[in-house]
This record gives sequence, C-alpha cells and structure tokens, in this order.
Amino acid sequence: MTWHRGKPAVPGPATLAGTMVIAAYVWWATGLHSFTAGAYVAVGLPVAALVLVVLVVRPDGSAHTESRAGVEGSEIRLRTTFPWLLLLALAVGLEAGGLALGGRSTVVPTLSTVADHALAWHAVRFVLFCGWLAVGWAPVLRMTFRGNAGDD
Amino acid sequence: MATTIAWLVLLAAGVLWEIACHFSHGRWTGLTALGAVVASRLFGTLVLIGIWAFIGWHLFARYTLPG
Repeated sequence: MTWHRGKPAVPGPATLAGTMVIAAYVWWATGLHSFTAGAYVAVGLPVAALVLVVLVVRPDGSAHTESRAGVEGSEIRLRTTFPWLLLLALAVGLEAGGLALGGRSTVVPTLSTVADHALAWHAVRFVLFCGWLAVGWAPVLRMTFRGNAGDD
Repeated sequence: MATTIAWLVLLAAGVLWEIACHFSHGRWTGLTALGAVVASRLFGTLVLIGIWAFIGWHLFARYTLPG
C-alpha cells in the first residue's frame, strides 16, 4: 500500500495477494504442534528472510545514517525512560517470584504460563503471530515505502 | 489469578504508555524511539532481530498447552 499527500491509496492486487499469502502462511504455521521441527522452521523462515533483507538487500541504505542523525539529536535520557524502567522492574519482580515457585505455579504464574493459556486457541496464536511479524518487519517495510515515496 | 491480572495490567500499561510517548512530541521516550537508537547501527539491528526471533520461537514453537 502506498501513501500520497496523507491519504492512503487503495491497495493493489499485489498487496492483497501478498496479504492473503502471508495470512495463509501464518494460519499454517500456528497450526503446527509445538516443539516440532516444523514449528521451529515456520518461525525461523521470516527471521531468516529479515536477516537476509537487512544484510544483503538493505531496503534503504541511507536510512541508517538518517535515523542515527535524528536519534542523536533527540533527547533520550533516564528522565524520559524511567516509566519503562519501572514497568521492567515490576515485570522482573513478577517473573522472579513465579520462577522462585517453580515456574508452573497457578498462584504466581510466570509470563510464559500466562501466555500459554492464551496460546491454547489457534485464533489467538494467529493474531499474535501476525503482530509478531508486524513488529519485526514494520521498520523494513516503512523504509521501503519511504524510499518508494521519495522516488515519486 | 491476581498475578495473571497483574501481568495483563502491566502489558496494557506498556501499550498505553507507548501510545502516550508517541503523542508526547519527544517529551517521553517510547520503545519505538529506543529501538530506533539501537537499530541505527547494524550490530544493534541484528541484536533486535535476535530478541525478536527468541520471542517468536518461545511463543510459537515452544508453548505448552495448559492442562
């Protein structure tokens, strides 16, 4: 999908076909049994593809330089990040408590145990896998679309 | 049960705070901005991909159905 003057353009057939293929892949991948080679490979393929893109293709070679300059100019200090440190400390405390009780406690479950309950449903696994893909691939796609917009 | 709710509250707080950071015009730093700092170098990008891959494998290849 491309954006022009702040308005989203209608996704083309290629975008729709790509989305359908990815959705089918995610549905298949999240239907595999855990701890099997297929499950590891199904997660590993998007990872390998992303590493390949980052190392070989580099969707926007100038993006690293641009983002570095922008980042160094912005103000990232302890004062602006302490809420994250607070959340992290609380999460570490909960996780440590759960692990201290054996890791499978129903009273103080670890994050993995909580996630396992949600992952019992295929639809939830599908949605979470799509979110996981989006988190990993979004920066690369953003750079690609930014590069295409710059070509106009 | 209380700890499960605490986890959900923590996750929701993280999402809401990230959204708040996005609209704070640089006053607060979101995870996206922190990620951009780390990813501005190739080594940092690969580290982030490694963390992303670990989360993917842990969630989708190593989950245990309860019961």
